[in-house]
Amino acid sequence: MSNSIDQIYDEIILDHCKNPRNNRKIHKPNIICKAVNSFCGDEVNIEIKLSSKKIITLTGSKSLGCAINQASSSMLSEVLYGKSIEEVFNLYNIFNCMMKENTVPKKASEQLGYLKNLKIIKKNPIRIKCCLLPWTALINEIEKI
Amino acid sequence: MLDIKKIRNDFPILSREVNNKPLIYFDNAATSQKPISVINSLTEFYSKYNSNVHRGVHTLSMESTDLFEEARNRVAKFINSKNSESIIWTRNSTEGINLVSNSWGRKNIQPGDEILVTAMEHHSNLVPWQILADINKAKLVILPINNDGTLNLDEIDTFINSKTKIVSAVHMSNSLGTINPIQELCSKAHKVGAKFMLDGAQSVPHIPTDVADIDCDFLVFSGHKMLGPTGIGVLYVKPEILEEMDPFLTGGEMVLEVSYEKAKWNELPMKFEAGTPNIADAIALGEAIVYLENIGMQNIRNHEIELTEYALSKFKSLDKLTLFGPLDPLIRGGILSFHSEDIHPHDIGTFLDHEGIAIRTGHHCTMPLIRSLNIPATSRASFYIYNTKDEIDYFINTLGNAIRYFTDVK
Ligand SMILES: Cc1ncc(COP(=O)(O)O)c(C=O)c1O
Repeated sequence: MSNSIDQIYDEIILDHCKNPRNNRKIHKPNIICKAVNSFCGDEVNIEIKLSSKKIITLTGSKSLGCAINQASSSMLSEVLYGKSIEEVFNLYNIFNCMMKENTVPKKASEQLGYLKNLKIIKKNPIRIKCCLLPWTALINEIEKI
Repeated sequence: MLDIKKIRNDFPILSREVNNKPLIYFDNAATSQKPISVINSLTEFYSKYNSNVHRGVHTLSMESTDLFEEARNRVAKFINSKNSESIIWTRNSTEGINLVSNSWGRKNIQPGDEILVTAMEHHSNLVPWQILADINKAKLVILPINNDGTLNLDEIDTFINSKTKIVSAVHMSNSLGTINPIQELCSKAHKVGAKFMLDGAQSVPHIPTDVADIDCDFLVFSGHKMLGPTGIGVLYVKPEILEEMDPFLTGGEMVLEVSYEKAKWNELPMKFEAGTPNIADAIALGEAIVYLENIGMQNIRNHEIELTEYALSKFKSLDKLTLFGPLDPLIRGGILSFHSEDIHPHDIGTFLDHEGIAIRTGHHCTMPLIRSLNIPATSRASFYIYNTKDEIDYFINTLGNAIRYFTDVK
């Protein structure tokens, strides 16, 4: 396989796209996040269960569309586990900053973990939207809480 | 047989690389590349003749007017229009359709009348009619298609009936490649006294077009899809209809005499060309036509039938792909739209781009059609005079790699 394409779809992205994690609907979710991108038909459906202390204890992600949207949704559904709403906002800000601006302070970037792999999508700017779609769907919903 | 090597040398962009690979340009249905003669024509105009047309008595203005009108004559000859007054410059096909729906349409469509378009229209031949139907309280009727992407003509005599006032149809579908039986639609329309409008955006660049033979009342096409520059297009209108049509845009250039109270329209076709026209691009479109005529439109069509036939046969080696549109290259242009259940078109597009191949992915401005196929989007490869079988081989091979890349499970 040629090397160049691996600069857009690295191993982790492909793995999440082919084997999406938390690919399920959950029982009585507290938060349901939906979004569509009519440009390409991407669809995000993320469901979240919160504990009484407002900690995320369960997620389901059934997203459709391109590899980048699917991978980003799947990865998001994993990193949400155990986080408080506040922590999610914080992570979103760092992630958004990485995807839209140039540098993220090193300390902040450590919090991103494997989400850092999604940075390569910036080489293909038209696809950044696909990557951010699950995040914007999530933030739109939790802002209402 | 076209001398493709020689043709390719006329297109500077074809020697560039994309992602360190030679460019393979398969997005011709979106816009074509430009030969050096067209590019030179633009610089030559601005370096030697630049001035406004139809206005000055000075040399430059007379020269530019001559070049501008010569380009119009070339267009007229190219589509076999008996007179050049029938050739109205527009920006593109979209503007031509809007001109007709606003000018002819608003005046002639009565409440209860029917406007017929097909289910495979580009948004530009759908939305203007939706608006006209809304304003004039008419009914917009959609002619359905068969599973193979051809028009369903089983009940054509119900669809084209005494209430029908205009039939507007695409000649070659930009999403399916289908070449529609426009002659039949046109004569059926005329039989019930309706007008017939042809969207030639995809056909005029690729197959010989003869408006006298088709007998259409209106025809639109875009310069940029036929080797010409962007920003220039053509609306052809049958002479007898032109006379009774009101202008669409108004202002300078389109008037003969103006008082503070009223204005008298200029002669045809200037009546429909308000404001300073796109002079340089019109002249360059004339050059593009010279280029196409030197090759010969029938030769171009034959070349594309050959490429399409070849590509269709190669496609069979790829499983997991659904190909849309008719499989007979005689009723299909060099446009291949396909979809894979497992891979989103944008991922295919990105993968191919990394290998230097430019294709289009999306709904191709035919959203209702793509929705009716129950898919989010398609990938589309489309050919032109400079494309080769070698390029198709590389494309099919790379597409195979893309499918394996996204679907093979480790
Ligand atoms: C069939 C068809 N009609 C109309 C158009 C509109 O052309 P333009 O964008 O040049 O106005 C297109 C362009 O994609 C087309 O393919």
